[in-house]
Amino acid sequence: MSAAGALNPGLWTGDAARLRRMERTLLDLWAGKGYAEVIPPLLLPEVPVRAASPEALASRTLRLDANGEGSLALRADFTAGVALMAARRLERLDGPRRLCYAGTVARRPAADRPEGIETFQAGCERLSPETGPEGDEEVALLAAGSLAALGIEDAVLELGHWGLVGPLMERLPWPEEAREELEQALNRKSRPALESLMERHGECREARLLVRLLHLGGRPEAVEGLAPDLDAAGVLGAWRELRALAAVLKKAFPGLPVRLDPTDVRHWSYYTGLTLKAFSRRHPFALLSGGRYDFLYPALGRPFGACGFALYLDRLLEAGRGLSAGSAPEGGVGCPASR
Amino acid sequence: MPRIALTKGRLLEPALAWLSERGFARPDLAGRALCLPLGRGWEAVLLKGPDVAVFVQNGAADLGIVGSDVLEEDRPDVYDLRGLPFGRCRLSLAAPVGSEAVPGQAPLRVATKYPRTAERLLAARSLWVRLIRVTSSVELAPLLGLSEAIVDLVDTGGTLRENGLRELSVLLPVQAHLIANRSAYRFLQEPWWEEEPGPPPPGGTAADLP
Repeated sequence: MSAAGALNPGLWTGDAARLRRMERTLLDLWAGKGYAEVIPPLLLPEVPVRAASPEALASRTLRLDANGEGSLALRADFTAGVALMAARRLERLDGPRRLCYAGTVARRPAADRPEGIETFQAGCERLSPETGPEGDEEVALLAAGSLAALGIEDAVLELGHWGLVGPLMERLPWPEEAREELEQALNRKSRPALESLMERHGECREARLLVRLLHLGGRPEAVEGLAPDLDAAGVLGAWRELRALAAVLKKAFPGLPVRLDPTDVRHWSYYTGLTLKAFSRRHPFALLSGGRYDFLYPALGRPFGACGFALYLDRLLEAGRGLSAGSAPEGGVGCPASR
Repeated sequence: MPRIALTKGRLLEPALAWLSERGFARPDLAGRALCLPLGRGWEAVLLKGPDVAVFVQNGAADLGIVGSDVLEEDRPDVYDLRGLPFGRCRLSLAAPVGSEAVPGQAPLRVATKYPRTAERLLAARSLWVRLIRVTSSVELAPLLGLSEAIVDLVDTGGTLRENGLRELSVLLPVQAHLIANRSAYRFLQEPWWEEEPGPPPPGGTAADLP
């Protein structure tokens, strides 16, 4: 996509109104749960932003030089901006700090993404005094509640956990050069690519387990047969955490299908625990993503843990216009499915 | 209705046979329709290989059958569910019979429909090349002096021989792959594509599940 072709055409009245309605719905919901809105700057100093962003996102960050004062980065996501603000203002936390945001982000266009440079996001960040899974349940429930508040009736919420796949990846006796290919193979659920890696670098228990984790079909019970192998590999604890969280979500949102899928993670070096995604058959890409990134605040000199998610409001608008995944029903977000 | 995008040309017939083994109907290909009922609640669309990846990536089709050459070149953002037992061939470096095809004072000019894949694979072999992108009749390039070599798909090698070319090096094995849209994957019911041929399993989507 050319730079000119990737420019955002803007939102005309109907879409603008829909976007603002979505933002208000979400910010009101989140305020009711104790999440206070922050507005991170659009322009940030580049070096700390790079430290606070996934590598893949850093490479898509737009930069400019303002009057020779060094390189600035245009906001490519909110998490980095919120973290830079919070790390500057909060020396310590006595309890969780709940923050939320809504606005525009700008990214270099990617060949594999149809979106333009500017897109709209809204999301939440839950900071804790210490790192660790405390708060995961609250954030996952809030993500589910956000989907419900927007009326996405066919949404599916998907949970994953770095602790299920990360240790297996790290124990693979494969050369470091194979790492990027491995991460791509997992993210693309590519059994052929994983088998090719095994052929070249050696088959082992961890690799075989990763192949089996690629296509669980999303159902918690589908993995029961894997429990002894997960236990032997020392990752059963993460699986149990996910199952317990799925049960909590199921109880709170009985109509929301919850899937478990530990391998579909785009930024493996970014997440440190829970990962979240949501999909609707009305849109070909994820409508929500997030998780736990406990490395982030320590990298900025604060010992806090952090977990959060963002909703992709452009995609929600598109879903509302009927742009869809292949087998989508007619209608948009908030409309009853036609079948 | 769930939709599978099929690659027109040499992959079409084996793809239909593979689907037929899994309980899908063979569509009538005699007409000019590009959208065909497949039975089991599915339909097929017939497209060129690179378009199969685009349609699946962007959700216009749930699944697709496409050559791994297209996946290597275009790197679409799709799930690569499995390799399929057909469409096997290879991406090879070839040059006119009798030529060395080794860069000397200047880089070797290589014509190809796969510039990104060729760049990556030839760089891994430390070959100094200048790639020239063409979209068809690659074999003509060395014959008309456009390049000293080509990188292209080779099946039996007959086309190379007919054009006075010989295969110098196999760069990449190629076969058909089944791909899925990231979102649609979540809403497809039981993974019929993983089953071995047998009686047809029930069709439908996740929405039909109790």
